[in-house]
Amino acid sequence: MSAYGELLDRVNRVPGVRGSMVVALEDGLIVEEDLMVGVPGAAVAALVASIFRRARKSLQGADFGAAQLVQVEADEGLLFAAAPPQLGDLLLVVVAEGWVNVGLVRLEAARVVEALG
Amino acid sequence: MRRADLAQFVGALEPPVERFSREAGLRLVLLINESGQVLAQRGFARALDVMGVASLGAGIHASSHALAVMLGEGGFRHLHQGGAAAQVFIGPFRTPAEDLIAIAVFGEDSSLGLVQVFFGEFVREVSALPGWSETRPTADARLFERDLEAGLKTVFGGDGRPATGA
Repeated sequence: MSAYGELLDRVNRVPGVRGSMVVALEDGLIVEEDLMVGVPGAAVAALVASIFRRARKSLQGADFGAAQLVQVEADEGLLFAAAPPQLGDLLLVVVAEGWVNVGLVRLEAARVVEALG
Repeated sequence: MRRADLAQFVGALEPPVERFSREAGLRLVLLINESGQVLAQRGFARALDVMGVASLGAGIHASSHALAVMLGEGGFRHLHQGGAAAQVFIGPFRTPAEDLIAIAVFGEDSSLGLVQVFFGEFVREVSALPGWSETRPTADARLFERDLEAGLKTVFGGDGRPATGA
Protein backbone atom coordinates (compact mmCIF):
# COMPACT_ATOMS: atom_id res chain seq x y z
CA MET A 1 0.00 0.00 0.00
CA SER A 2 1.32 3.47 -0.90
CA ALA A 3 1.82 6.23 1.65
CA TYR A 4 -1.34 7.89 0.37
CA GLY A 5 -3.20 4.60 0.64
CA GLU A 6 -2.27 4.34 4.32
CA LEU A 7 -3.44 7.92 4.83
CA LEU A 8 -6.81 7.18 3.31
CA ASP A 9 -7.16 3.90 5.15
CA ARG A 10 -6.71 5.60 8.52
CA VAL A 11 -9.06 8.46 7.71
CA ASN A 12 -11.69 5.98 6.53
CA ARG A 13 -11.69 4.23 9.91
CA VAL A 14 -13.44 7.22 11.46
CA PRO A 15 -17.13 6.29 11.87
CA GLY A 16 -19.33 8.03 9.28
CA VAL A 17 -16.62 8.49 6.66
CA ARG A 18 -17.78 7.14 3.28
CA GLY A 19 -14.42 7.47 1.63
CA SER A 20 -11.47 9.69 1.00
CA MET A 21 -9.22 10.70 -1.85
CA VAL A 22 -5.95 12.40 -2.61
CA VAL A 23 -6.70 14.84 -5.43
CA ALA A 24 -4.49 17.02 -7.62
CA LEU A 25 -5.50 20.55 -6.70
CA GLU A 26 -4.92 22.17 -10.09
CA ASP A 27 -6.32 19.36 -12.26
CA GLY A 28 -9.07 18.08 -9.99
CA LEU A 29 -8.00 14.53 -10.88
CA ILE A 30 -7.82 11.65 -8.42
CA VAL A 31 -4.33 10.54 -7.42
CA GLU A 32 -5.46 7.85 -4.98
CA GLU A 33 -8.92 6.93 -3.74
CA ASP A 34 -10.61 4.67 -1.24
CA LEU A 35 -14.35 5.19 -1.55
CA MET A 36 -17.49 3.26 -0.77
CA VAL A 37 -19.46 1.95 -3.72
CA GLY A 38 -21.78 4.62 -5.09
CA VAL A 39 -19.66 7.65 -4.24
CA PRO A 40 -19.02 9.49 -7.54
CA GLY A 41 -15.31 10.00 -6.97
CA ALA A 42 -14.32 11.75 -10.18
CA ALA A 43 -17.12 14.30 -9.94
CA VAL A 44 -16.54 14.99 -6.25
CA ALA A 45 -12.79 15.34 -6.79
CA ALA A 46 -13.20 17.79 -9.67
CA LEU A 47 -15.84 19.90 -7.94
CA VAL A 48 -14.16 20.01 -4.52
CA ALA A 49 -10.83 20.97 -6.11
CA SER A 50 -12.65 23.73 -7.99
CA ILE A 51 -14.26 25.01 -4.76
CA PHE A 52 -10.91 24.89 -3.01
CA ARG A 53 -9.14 26.85 -5.78
CA ARG A 54 -11.80 29.56 -5.57
CA ALA A 55 -11.61 29.68 -1.78
CA ARG A 56 -7.85 29.94 -2.01
CA LYS A 57 -8.13 32.83 -4.46
CA SER A 58 -10.60 34.63 -2.17
CA LEU A 59 -8.38 34.21 0.87
CA GLN A 60 -5.33 35.39 -1.03
CA GLY A 61 -7.34 38.39 -2.23
CA ALA A 62 -8.16 39.21 1.39
CA ASP A 63 -4.50 38.81 2.41
CA PHE A 64 -5.37 35.96 4.74
CA GLY A 65 -2.60 33.70 3.51
CA ALA A 66 -2.88 30.18 2.11
CA ALA A 67 -6.16 28.29 2.36
CA GLN A 68 -5.80 25.18 4.47
CA LEU A 69 -9.24 23.73 4.85
CA VAL A 70 -12.63 23.84 3.18
CA GLN A 71 -15.68 22.15 4.61
CA VAL A 72 -19.07 21.95 2.91
CA GLU A 73 -21.99 20.62 4.91
CA ALA A 74 -25.41 19.47 3.74
CA ASP A 75 -28.31 17.64 5.36
CA GLU A 76 -27.22 14.27 4.02
CA GLY A 77 -23.47 14.59 4.08
CA LEU A 78 -20.29 16.51 4.36
CA LEU A 79 -17.30 17.22 2.15
CA PHE A 80 -13.99 18.11 3.67
CA ALA A 81 -10.86 19.18 1.81
CA ALA A 82 -7.51 19.95 3.35
CA ALA A 83 -4.30 21.15 1.73
CA PRO A 84 -1.54 20.54 4.24
CA PRO A 85 1.93 21.68 3.11
CA GLN A 86 3.18 18.08 3.39
CA LEU A 87 0.96 17.13 0.44
CA GLY A 88 2.33 19.83 -1.88
CA ASP A 89 -0.19 20.53 -4.64
CA LEU A 90 -2.47 17.73 -3.47
CA LEU A 91 -5.69 17.85 -1.53
CA LEU A 92 -7.02 15.38 0.98
CA VAL A 93 -10.75 15.08 0.29
CA VAL A 94 -13.08 13.27 2.70
CA VAL A 95 -16.68 12.32 1.91
CA ALA A 96 -18.71 11.63 5.05
CA GLU A 97 -22.19 11.28 6.47
CA GLY A 98 -23.73 14.42 7.95
CA TRP A 99 -23.40 13.06 11.48
CA VAL A 100 -19.66 12.40 11.29
CA ASN A 101 -17.43 13.78 14.02
CA VAL A 102 -15.57 16.36 11.95
CA GLY A 103 -13.09 17.05 14.71
CA LEU A 104 -12.09 13.40 14.71
CA VAL A 105 -11.69 13.39 10.91
CA ARG A 106 -9.51 16.48 11.08
CA LEU A 107 -7.45 15.07 13.92
CA GLU A 108 -6.89 11.75 12.18
CA ALA A 109 -6.03 13.48 8.90
CA ALA A 110 -3.60 15.82 10.66
CA ARG A 111 -1.89 12.91 12.42
CA VAL A 112 -1.37 10.93 9.26
CA VAL A 113 -0.32 13.93 7.20
CA GLU A 114 2.21 14.80 9.86
CA ALA A 115 3.56 11.27 9.65
CA LEU A 116 3.87 11.66 5.86
CA GLY A 117 5.92 14.83 6.14
CA MET B 1 -29.77 9.61 -39.62
CA ARG B 2 -27.28 9.96 -42.41
CA ARG B 3 -24.33 12.31 -42.55
CA ALA B 4 -26.08 14.59 -45.02
CA ASP B 5 -29.03 15.00 -42.63
CA LEU B 6 -26.81 16.25 -39.84
CA ALA B 7 -27.20 19.87 -40.90
CA GLN B 8 -30.92 19.72 -40.07
CA PHE B 9 -30.02 18.50 -36.59
CA VAL B 10 -27.44 21.15 -35.72
CA GLY B 11 -29.90 23.39 -33.83
CA ALA B 12 -30.61 20.63 -31.32
CA LEU B 13 -26.91 20.41 -30.48
CA GLU B 14 -26.65 24.04 -29.35
CA PRO B 15 -28.24 23.69 -25.86
CA PRO B 16 -25.98 20.80 -24.75
CA VAL B 17 -22.93 22.65 -26.07
CA GLU B 18 -23.99 25.80 -24.21
CA ARG B 19 -24.50 23.80 -20.99
CA PHE B 20 -21.16 22.02 -21.34
CA SER B 21 -19.43 25.36 -21.87
CA ARG B 22 -21.10 27.03 -18.89
CA GLU B 23 -20.83 24.20 -16.38
CA ALA B 24 -17.24 23.26 -17.18
CA GLY B 25 -16.14 26.91 -17.30
CA LEU B 26 -14.85 26.69 -20.87
CA ARG B 27 -13.51 29.61 -22.86
CA LEU B 28 -14.21 28.01 -26.23
CA VAL B 29 -15.92 24.86 -27.33
CA LEU B 30 -16.37 23.38 -30.76
CA LEU B 31 -18.29 20.30 -31.84
CA ILE B 32 -17.16 18.80 -35.13
CA ASN B 33 -17.43 15.54 -36.97
CA GLU B 34 -14.43 13.49 -38.01
CA SER B 35 -14.12 15.28 -41.32
CA GLY B 36 -13.87 18.65 -39.56
CA GLN B 37 -17.41 19.84 -40.32
CA VAL B 38 -18.51 22.29 -37.62
CA LEU B 39 -21.78 21.33 -35.91
CA ALA B 40 -21.83 23.76 -32.98
CA GLN B 41 -19.56 26.26 -31.30
CA ARG B 42 -19.48 28.65 -28.39
CA GLY B 43 -17.02 31.42 -27.55
CA PHE B 44 -15.50 32.00 -30.98
CA ALA B 45 -15.68 35.55 -32.30
CA ARG B 46 -14.56 34.93 -35.87
CA ALA B 47 -15.50 32.28 -38.41
CA LEU B 48 -11.87 32.04 -39.44
CA ASP B 49 -10.85 30.91 -35.95
CA VAL B 50 -13.60 28.28 -35.94
CA MET B 51 -12.44 26.80 -39.23
CA GLY B 52 -8.80 26.78 -38.12
CA VAL B 53 -9.52 25.08 -34.81
CA ALA B 54 -11.93 22.63 -36.46
CA SER B 55 -9.46 21.50 -39.09
CA LEU B 56 -6.54 21.32 -36.65
CA GLY B 57 -8.67 19.45 -34.11
CA ALA B 58 -9.82 16.93 -36.70
CA GLY B 59 -6.22 16.46 -37.81
CA ILE B 60 -4.96 15.96 -34.25
CA HIS B 61 -7.76 13.48 -33.58
CA ALA B 62 -7.02 11.56 -36.79
CA SER B 63 -3.30 11.29 -36.07
CA SER B 64 -3.77 10.36 -32.40
CA HIS B 65 -6.35 7.76 -33.40
CA ALA B 66 -3.83 6.28 -35.85
CA LEU B 67 -1.26 6.19 -33.05
CA ALA B 68 -3.77 4.49 -30.74
CA VAL B 69 -4.45 1.84 -33.40
CA MET B 70 -0.69 1.26 -33.78
CA LEU B 71 -0.53 0.66 -30.02
CA GLY B 72 -3.38 -1.83 -30.23
CA GLU B 73 -6.01 0.48 -28.81
CA GLY B 74 -9.36 1.14 -30.44
CA GLY B 75 -8.76 4.82 -29.84
CA PHE B 76 -7.90 7.19 -27.03
CA ARG B 77 -10.67 8.38 -24.74
CA HIS B 78 -9.51 11.96 -24.91
CA LEU B 79 -6.48 14.16 -25.44
CA HIS B 80 -5.31 16.94 -23.21
CA GLN B 81 -2.65 19.59 -23.73
CA GLY B 82 -1.85 21.90 -20.87
CA GLY B 83 -0.36 25.34 -21.34
CA ALA B 84 0.49 28.18 -18.99
CA ALA B 85 -2.70 30.14 -19.64
CA ALA B 86 -4.86 27.84 -21.73
CA GLN B 87 -5.46 24.11 -21.97
CA VAL B 88 -7.05 22.07 -24.72
CA PHE B 89 -9.24 19.00 -24.31
CA ILE B 90 -10.19 16.94 -27.36
CA GLY B 91 -12.86 14.35 -26.65
CA PRO B 92 -14.20 12.03 -29.36
CA PHE B 93 -17.47 10.21 -28.82
CA ARG B 94 -19.86 8.01 -30.73
CA THR B 95 -23.42 8.84 -31.73
CA PRO B 96 -25.88 6.73 -33.68
CA ALA B 97 -25.12 8.86 -36.75
CA GLU B 98 -21.35 9.13 -36.64
CA ASP B 99 -18.39 9.85 -34.42
CA LEU B 100 -18.17 13.43 -33.19
CA ILE B 101 -15.34 15.35 -31.56
CA ALA B 102 -15.62 18.04 -28.89
CA ILE B 103 -12.73 20.50 -28.71
CA ALA B 104 -12.72 22.49 -25.48
CA VAL B 105 -10.38 25.30 -24.49
CA PHE B 106 -10.23 26.27 -20.83
CA GLY B 107 -8.07 28.33 -18.51
CA GLU B 108 -7.40 28.62 -14.80
CA ASP B 109 -11.11 29.01 -14.02
CA SER B 110 -11.59 25.34 -14.80
CA SER B 111 -9.60 22.11 -14.61
CA LEU B 112 -9.14 18.90 -16.54
CA GLY B 113 -11.14 17.04 -13.90
CA LEU B 114 -14.10 19.38 -14.26
CA VAL B 115 -13.98 19.22 -18.05
CA GLN B 116 -13.89 15.42 -17.92
CA VAL B 117 -16.87 15.24 -15.59
CA PHE B 118 -19.02 17.60 -17.63
CA PHE B 119 -17.85 16.09 -20.92
CA GLY B 120 -19.35 12.80 -19.70
CA GLU B 121 -22.68 14.52 -19.07
CA PHE B 122 -22.46 16.29 -22.43
CA VAL B 123 -21.92 13.01 -24.26
CA ARG B 124 -24.90 11.43 -22.50
CA GLU B 125 -27.08 14.43 -23.33
CA VAL B 126 -26.09 14.57 -26.99
CA SER B 127 -26.43 10.81 -27.45
CA ALA B 128 -29.94 10.93 -25.97
CA LEU B 129 -31.22 13.56 -28.41
CA PRO B 130 -34.27 12.15 -30.18
CA GLY B 131 -33.08 13.23 -33.62
CA TRP B 132 -30.47 10.48 -33.79
CA SER B 133 -33.09 7.76 -34.00
CA GLU B 134 -35.01 9.36 -36.84
CA THR B 135 -34.41 7.68 -40.14
CA ARG B 136 -34.86 9.76 -43.24
CA PRO B 137 -34.88 7.48 -46.27
CA THR B 138 -33.80 9.08 -49.51
CA ALA B 139 -37.05 9.93 -51.24
CA ASP B 140 -36.10 11.45 -54.55
CA ALA B 141 -33.27 12.01 -56.97
CA ARG B 142 -32.42 15.44 -55.55
CA LEU B 143 -31.94 14.08 -52.02
CA PHE B 144 -30.00 11.13 -53.35
CA GLU B 145 -27.68 13.49 -55.20
CA ARG B 146 -27.23 15.64 -52.08
CA ASP B 147 -26.27 12.58 -50.01
CA LEU B 148 -23.90 11.43 -52.70
CA GLU B 149 -22.31 14.86 -52.87
CA ALA B 150 -21.92 14.98 -49.08
CA GLY B 151 -20.19 11.61 -49.21
CA LEU B 152 -17.87 12.73 -51.98
CA LYS B 153 -17.01 15.88 -50.11
CA THR B 154 -16.12 13.81 -47.08
CA VAL B 155 -13.87 11.56 -49.10
CA PHE B 156 -12.24 14.10 -51.38
CA GLY B 157 -12.99 17.47 -49.75
CA GLY B 158 -13.80 20.72 -51.59
CA ASP B 159 -16.02 20.26 -54.63
CA GLY B 160 -16.12 16.51 -54.44
CA ARG B 161 -13.52 15.99 -57.16
CA PRO B 162 -10.38 14.06 -56.33
CA ALA B 163 -7.28 16.23 -56.26
CA THR B 164 -4.99 15.88 -59.26
CA GLY B 165 -1.22 16.12 -59.32
CA ALA B 166 1.26 15.54 -56.53
